[in-house]
Amino acid sequence: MNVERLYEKYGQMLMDISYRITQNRADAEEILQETFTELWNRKPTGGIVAWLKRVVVNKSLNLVRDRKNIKVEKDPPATPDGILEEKERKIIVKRALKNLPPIENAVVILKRYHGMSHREIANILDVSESNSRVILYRAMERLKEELKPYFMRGKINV
Amino acid sequence: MYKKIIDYLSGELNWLKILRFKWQLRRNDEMKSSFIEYKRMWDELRVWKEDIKIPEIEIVHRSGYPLRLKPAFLFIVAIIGIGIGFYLGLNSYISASDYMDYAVEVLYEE
Repeated sequence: MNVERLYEKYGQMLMDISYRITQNRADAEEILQETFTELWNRKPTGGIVAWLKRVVVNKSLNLVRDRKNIKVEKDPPATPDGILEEKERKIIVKRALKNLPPIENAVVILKRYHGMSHREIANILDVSESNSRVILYRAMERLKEELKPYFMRGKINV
Repeated sequence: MYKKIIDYLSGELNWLKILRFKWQLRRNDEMKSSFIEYKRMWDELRVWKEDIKIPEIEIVHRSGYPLRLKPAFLFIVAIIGIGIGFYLGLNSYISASDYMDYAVEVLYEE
Protein backbone atom coordinates (compact mmCIF):
# COMPACT_ATOMS: atom_id res chain seq x y z
CA MET A 1 0.00 0.00 0.00
CA ASN A 2 1.36 3.42 -0.77
CA VAL A 3 2.20 5.89 1.99
CA GLU A 4 -0.51 8.36 1.00
CA ARG A 5 -3.21 5.72 1.34
CA LEU A 6 -1.77 4.49 4.64
CA TYR A 7 -1.93 8.05 5.91
CA GLU A 8 -5.51 8.53 4.79
CA LYS A 9 -6.60 5.25 6.36
CA TYR A 10 -4.66 5.19 9.63
CA GLY A 11 -3.53 8.82 10.17
CA GLN A 12 -6.59 9.73 12.22
CA MET A 13 -6.27 6.75 14.52
CA LEU A 14 -2.53 7.28 15.02
CA MET A 15 -3.07 10.98 15.68
CA ASP A 16 -5.74 10.14 18.26
CA ILE A 17 -3.47 7.66 20.06
CA SER A 18 -0.60 10.13 20.13
CA TYR A 19 -2.79 13.05 21.21
CA ARG A 20 -4.34 11.12 24.08
CA ILE A 21 -0.95 10.00 25.37
CA THR A 22 0.82 13.35 24.98
CA GLN A 23 -2.31 15.49 25.54
CA ASN A 24 -0.82 18.05 23.22
CA ARG A 25 -1.96 18.60 19.65
CA ALA A 26 1.32 20.04 18.37
CA ASP A 27 3.32 17.14 19.83
CA ALA A 28 0.92 14.62 18.33
CA GLU A 29 1.24 16.27 14.91
CA GLU A 30 5.02 16.24 15.17
CA ILE A 31 5.06 12.58 16.18
CA LEU A 32 2.79 11.69 13.26
CA GLN A 33 5.07 13.55 10.88
CA GLU A 34 8.18 11.86 12.29
CA THR A 35 6.54 8.44 12.10
CA PHE A 36 5.61 8.79 8.43
CA THR A 37 9.05 10.20 7.63
CA GLU A 38 10.54 7.13 9.29
CA LEU A 39 8.17 4.91 7.33
CA TRP A 40 9.27 6.62 4.14
CA ASN A 41 12.98 6.19 4.94
CA ARG A 42 12.87 2.68 6.36
CA LYS A 43 10.09 1.03 4.34
CA PRO A 44 9.44 -1.75 6.89
CA THR A 45 8.30 -5.07 5.50
CA GLY A 46 5.41 -7.09 6.94
CA GLY A 47 2.87 -5.66 9.38
CA ILE A 48 3.12 -1.98 8.53
CA VAL A 49 0.06 -0.98 10.57
CA ALA A 50 1.36 -2.71 13.71
CA TRP A 51 4.72 -1.05 13.07
CA LEU A 52 3.07 2.38 12.76
CA LYS A 53 1.13 1.91 16.01
CA ARG A 54 4.24 0.76 17.83
CA VAL A 55 6.31 3.70 16.62
CA VAL A 56 3.62 6.27 17.45
CA VAL A 57 3.06 4.85 20.95
CA ASN A 58 6.77 4.61 21.69
CA LYS A 59 7.49 8.12 20.45
CA SER A 60 4.58 9.49 22.48
CA LEU A 61 5.67 7.62 25.61
CA ASN A 62 9.24 8.87 25.23
CA LEU A 63 8.01 12.42 24.89
CA VAL A 64 5.79 12.12 27.96
CA ARG A 65 8.65 10.58 29.97
CA ASP A 66 10.96 13.41 28.95
CA ARG A 67 8.38 16.00 29.91
CA LYS A 68 7.54 14.45 33.27
CA ASN A 69 10.24 16.51 34.91
CA ILE A 70 9.08 19.77 33.40
CA LYS A 71 6.36 21.46 35.40
CA VAL A 72 3.36 22.46 33.35
CA GLU A 73 0.48 24.73 34.17
CA LYS A 74 -2.19 22.77 35.96
CA ASP A 75 -5.82 22.68 34.97
CA PRO A 76 -8.14 24.55 37.31
CA PRO A 77 -9.11 22.31 40.22
CA ALA A 78 -12.65 21.04 40.12
CA THR A 79 -14.58 20.76 43.33
CA PRO A 80 -15.74 17.26 44.24
CA ASP A 81 -19.04 18.62 45.50
CA GLY A 82 -21.85 19.69 43.28
CA ILE A 83 -22.87 18.69 39.78
CA LEU A 84 -20.04 18.68 37.30
CA GLU A 85 -20.38 20.12 33.87
CA GLU A 86 -19.27 17.98 30.94
CA LYS A 87 -16.29 20.26 30.38
CA GLU A 88 -15.17 19.88 33.99
CA ARG A 89 -15.61 16.14 33.87
CA LYS A 90 -13.45 16.02 30.77
CA ILE A 91 -10.72 18.04 32.50
CA ILE A 92 -10.81 15.71 35.49
CA VAL A 93 -10.56 12.61 33.32
CA LYS A 94 -7.72 14.08 31.25
CA ARG A 95 -5.84 15.08 34.38
CA ALA A 96 -6.33 11.66 35.99
CA LEU A 97 -4.98 9.97 32.86
CA LYS A 98 -2.07 12.38 32.71
CA ASN A 99 -1.18 11.60 36.32
CA LEU A 100 -0.82 7.89 35.56
CA PRO A 101 2.65 6.50 34.83
CA PRO A 102 3.16 6.71 31.03
CA ILE A 103 2.91 2.96 30.38
CA GLU A 104 -0.34 2.67 32.38
CA ASN A 105 -1.72 5.69 30.57
CA ALA A 106 -0.90 4.08 27.21
CA VAL A 107 -2.57 0.78 28.13
CA VAL A 108 -5.76 2.51 29.30
CA ILE A 109 -5.88 4.60 26.12
CA LEU A 110 -5.30 1.68 23.79
CA LYS A 111 -7.86 -0.42 25.65
CA ARG A 112 -10.58 2.11 26.44
CA TYR A 113 -10.42 4.44 23.45
CA HIS A 114 -9.20 2.07 20.77
CA GLY A 115 -10.68 -1.22 21.98
CA MET A 116 -7.47 -3.16 21.37
CA SER A 117 -7.01 -6.62 22.82
CA HIS A 118 -4.25 -7.34 25.32
CA ARG A 119 -2.45 -9.28 22.60
CA GLU A 120 -2.31 -6.18 20.37
CA ILE A 121 -1.31 -3.94 23.27
CA ALA A 122 1.41 -6.38 24.30
CA ASN A 123 2.72 -6.37 20.74
CA ILE A 124 2.76 -2.57 20.55
CA LEU A 125 4.34 -1.98 23.95
CA ASP A 126 6.68 -4.96 23.74
CA VAL A 127 5.43 -6.55 26.96
CA SER A 128 3.75 -9.90 27.65
CA GLU A 129 -0.03 -10.28 27.50
CA SER A 130 -0.27 -10.99 31.22
CA ASN A 131 1.88 -7.96 31.90
CA SER A 132 -0.51 -5.83 29.85
CA ARG A 133 -3.39 -7.10 32.00
CA VAL A 134 -1.55 -6.34 35.22
CA ILE A 135 -0.72 -2.82 33.99
CA LEU A 136 -4.40 -2.24 33.23
CA TYR A 137 -5.46 -3.51 36.68
CA ARG A 138 -2.98 -1.17 38.34
CA ALA A 139 -4.05 1.78 36.21
CA MET A 140 -7.72 1.17 36.96
CA GLU A 141 -7.00 1.00 40.66
CA ARG A 142 -5.19 4.33 40.52
CA LEU A 143 -7.91 5.92 38.39
CA LYS A 144 -10.57 4.69 40.78
CA GLU A 145 -8.80 6.31 43.70
CA GLU A 146 -8.38 9.59 41.82
CA LEU A 147 -11.83 9.77 40.28
CA LYS A 148 -13.79 8.41 43.22
CA PRO A 149 -14.50 11.80 44.83
CA TYR A 150 -15.95 13.14 41.58
CA PHE A 151 -17.91 10.36 39.96
CA MET A 152 -19.07 7.83 42.53
CA ARG A 153 -22.54 9.25 42.94
CA GLY A 154 -25.95 8.28 41.76
CA LYS A 155 -27.31 4.94 40.66
CA ILE A 156 -25.97 2.58 38.06
CA ASN A 157 -27.52 -0.36 36.26
CA VAL A 158 -25.69 -3.65 36.59
CA MET B 1 -9.60 -5.86 43.90
CA TYR B 2 -11.56 -8.12 41.57
CA LYS B 3 -9.54 -8.52 38.40
CA LYS B 4 -12.50 -10.16 36.72
CA ILE B 5 -14.36 -6.84 36.89
CA ILE B 6 -11.71 -5.15 34.76
CA ASP B 7 -11.62 -8.12 32.38
CA TYR B 8 -15.40 -7.93 32.06
CA LEU B 9 -15.46 -4.17 31.47
CA SER B 10 -12.63 -4.32 28.95
CA GLY B 11 -14.35 -7.10 26.99
CA GLU B 12 -11.78 -9.79 27.70
CA LEU B 13 -14.22 -12.46 28.92
CA ASN B 14 -15.92 -15.01 26.65
CA TRP B 15 -19.66 -15.67 26.92
CA LEU B 16 -19.26 -18.52 29.39
CA LYS B 17 -17.05 -16.48 31.67
CA ILE B 18 -19.49 -13.55 31.36
CA LEU B 19 -22.34 -15.76 32.56
CA ARG B 20 -20.24 -17.00 35.45
CA PHE B 21 -19.19 -13.47 36.31
CA LYS B 22 -22.78 -12.21 36.36
CA TRP B 23 -23.83 -15.11 38.54
CA GLN B 24 -21.02 -14.33 40.98
CA LEU B 25 -21.96 -10.68 40.94
CA ARG B 26 -25.51 -11.45 42.08
CA ARG B 27 -24.26 -13.55 44.98
CA ASN B 28 -21.46 -11.31 46.21
CA ASP B 29 -22.48 -7.87 47.50
CA GLU B 30 -18.95 -6.68 48.08
CA MET B 31 -18.03 -7.57 44.53
CA LYS B 32 -21.16 -5.84 43.29
CA SER B 33 -20.35 -2.55 45.01
CA SER B 34 -16.82 -2.73 43.66
CA PHE B 35 -18.21 -3.40 40.21
CA ILE B 36 -20.44 -0.33 40.43
CA GLU B 37 -17.46 1.86 41.22
CA TYR B 38 -15.36 0.52 38.38
CA LYS B 39 -18.25 0.61 35.90
CA ARG B 40 -18.98 4.24 36.70
CA MET B 41 -15.35 5.18 36.26
CA TRP B 42 -15.02 3.12 33.06
CA ASP B 43 -18.03 4.95 31.61
CA GLU B 44 -16.74 8.34 32.73
CA LEU B 45 -13.52 7.82 30.76
CA ARG B 46 -15.70 8.17 27.67
CA VAL B 47 -16.38 11.80 28.60
CA TRP B 48 -13.15 12.71 26.88
CA LYS B 49 -14.21 12.95 23.25
CA GLU B 50 -12.19 15.01 20.83
CA ASP B 51 -12.48 15.68 17.18
CA ILE B 52 -8.89 15.78 16.07
CA LYS B 53 -8.01 16.86 12.57
CA ILE B 54 -4.96 15.25 11.05
CA PRO B 55 -2.34 17.64 9.72
CA GLU B 56 -1.18 17.92 6.12
CA ILE B 57 2.11 16.10 5.87
CA GLU B 58 4.21 17.07 2.88
CA ILE B 59 6.20 13.87 2.66
CA VAL B 60 2.99 11.85 2.37
CA HIS B 61 1.87 13.81 -0.68
CA ARG B 62 5.30 13.58 -2.24
CA SER B 63 5.37 9.85 -1.63
CA GLY B 64 2.99 8.95 -4.43
CA TYR B 65 5.35 10.44 -7.02
CA PRO B 66 8.26 7.97 -7.03
CA LEU B 67 5.88 5.03 -6.81
CA ARG B 68 4.02 6.18 -9.92
CA LEU B 69 7.29 7.06 -11.60
CA LYS B 70 8.66 3.54 -11.27
CA PRO B 71 6.78 1.87 -14.18
CA ALA B 72 7.39 4.88 -16.44
CA PHE B 73 11.07 4.83 -15.55
CA LEU B 74 11.31 1.11 -16.33
CA PHE B 75 9.54 1.64 -19.64
CA ILE B 76 11.98 4.38 -20.70
CA VAL B 77 14.95 2.19 -19.69
CA ALA B 78 13.50 -0.67 -21.71
CA ILE B 79 13.04 1.52 -24.82
CA ILE B 80 16.62 2.82 -24.54
CA GLY B 81 17.84 -0.76 -24.04
CA ILE B 82 15.99 -2.00 -27.10
CA GLY B 83 17.38 0.97 -29.11
CA ILE B 84 20.96 0.26 -28.07
CA GLY B 85 20.48 -3.46 -28.74
CA PHE B 86 19.05 -2.77 -32.19
CA TYR B 87 21.90 -0.37 -33.02
CA LEU B 88 24.59 -2.83 -31.92
CA GLY B 89 22.89 -5.72 -33.69
CA LEU B 90 22.54 -3.77 -36.90
CA ASN B 91 26.12 -2.57 -36.66
CA SER B 92 27.47 -6.05 -36.20
CA TYR B 93 25.29 -7.30 -39.07
CA ILE B 94 26.61 -4.58 -41.35
CA SER B 95 30.21 -5.24 -40.40
CA ALA B 96 29.69 -8.98 -40.82
CA SER B 97 28.18 -8.54 -44.29
CA ASP B 98 30.96 -6.10 -45.26
CA TYR B 99 33.49 -8.68 -44.16
CA MET B 100 31.74 -11.37 -46.19
CA ASP B 101 31.71 -9.13 -49.27
CA TYR B 102 35.39 -8.44 -48.79
CA ALA B 103 36.15 -12.14 -48.33
CA VAL B 104 34.22 -13.05 -51.49
CA GLU B 105 36.03 -10.29 -53.43
CA VAL B 106 39.45 -11.54 -52.26
CA LEU B 107 38.47 -15.09 -53.13
CA TYR B 108 37.45 -14.12 -56.69
CA GLU B 109 40.63 -12.14 -57.23
CA GLU B 110 42.73 -15.12 -56.23
